[in-house]
Amino acid sequence: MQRSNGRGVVWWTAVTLFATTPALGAQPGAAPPGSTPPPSVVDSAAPAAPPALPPAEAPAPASSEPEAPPPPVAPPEPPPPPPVTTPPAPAAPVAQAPLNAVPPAASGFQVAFRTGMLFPFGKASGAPGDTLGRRYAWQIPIVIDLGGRFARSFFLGGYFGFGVGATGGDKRVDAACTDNDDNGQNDIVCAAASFRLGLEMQYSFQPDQHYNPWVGYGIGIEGSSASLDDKYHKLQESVTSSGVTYAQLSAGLDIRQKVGFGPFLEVALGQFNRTTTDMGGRGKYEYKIDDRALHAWVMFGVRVVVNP
Amino acid sequence: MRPVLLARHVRALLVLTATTALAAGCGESPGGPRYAELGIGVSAGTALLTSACLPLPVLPGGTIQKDIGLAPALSAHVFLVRDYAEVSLEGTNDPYASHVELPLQTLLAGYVQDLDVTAVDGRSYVVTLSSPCNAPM
Repeated sequence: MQRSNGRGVVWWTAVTLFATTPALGAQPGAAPPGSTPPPSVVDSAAPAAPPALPPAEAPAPASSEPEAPPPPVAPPEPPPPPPVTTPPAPAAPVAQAPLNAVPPAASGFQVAFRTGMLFPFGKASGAPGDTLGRRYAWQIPIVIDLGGRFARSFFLGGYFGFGVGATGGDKRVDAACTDNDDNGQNDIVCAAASFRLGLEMQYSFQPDQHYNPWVGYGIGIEGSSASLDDKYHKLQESVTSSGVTYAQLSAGLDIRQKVGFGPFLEVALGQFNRTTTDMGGRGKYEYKIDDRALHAWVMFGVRVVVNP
Repeated sequence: MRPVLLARHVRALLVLTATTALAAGCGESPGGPRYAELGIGVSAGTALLTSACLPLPVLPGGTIQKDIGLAPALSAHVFLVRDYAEVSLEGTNDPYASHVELPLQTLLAGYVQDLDVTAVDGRSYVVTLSSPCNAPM
């Protein structure tokens, strides 16, 4: 016992000096391994006898009598860790909440992708029989809406869309585009395409609800092209008409989650004012359409909205 | 009897194969449009002064509009669409030659016409319209 007491005094002195000397004891990690509760040592800026004593007894068993003193000292150490691990538990329910929640009304950047089917209606020009459906068949479109949301319900941005399909219902073109020589080669390729570009504004009726109906208006330019490539006779022809989209009227329903999606319907009213006829190597001719007429592209399908 | 039966079966098989092939549409056309052309040339005496050849478009909406200078005081305004061709001569006072309209079927069937024209400067020319362009004049 005396030996141990004497050693305890030495340890107490050493620890007290260590704790009160800023250069040595300022860092909690600098405490000797035997002194188990570092906080008590650090907290005691002034040499306090009661807190310093327990650590002083700890090293004693390590030196001469390991069996007797260690058991009582070791058990108190495990309890502190549990309270440390408990705080993360309440964080779990907080992370799960947004998964199924309806996001608040969007603001800032928004992008949407639309696709579906695109049908031509009306007249391409005032010439007799020059309907849009005679020039172009229905198409598969892809439209991108890019812009920003503001004032909760409004979207202002631009749109860009293009569609691809077949040539229209003209019998002469149909006959010309039929390859039936059974030589296993596609001797003639006939196709049609269209594009639209412009500015648009949309209004959301329930911008912060799960189901958000919306309407939109856009104005811009458009172009449609039909082409045939006769590989057998080495002849090409394409006719591209361009003009103005006066009104792109749209409406839809967004099912809002982290990403929104839903059906939409769109009617784009426009008019061609210029035609370019490219006869391949036989010349390219521009023509300003004097006898103009109104036409419509009707599109329906699905749209996906990022930041709905 | 057996060889006769066999021959009959073979013949029937051949006929069936041929019929099936025809019904399946074994055509010989590679497809492609039949283009009509309009040739326009002007000559003074025996000398060919100028000529041009333009195809009629096939696709709906295709339009070719071109002004062709034929002679110092004579020009032609050509307007071609898929169904017809129009030629308007400018620089002449001859009413019968000032405007010619030719339907597609006429051009596809083959067409040649010589127009005797006196330009406003008093010179005489022969304007030839033809289809196809290399039709014998």
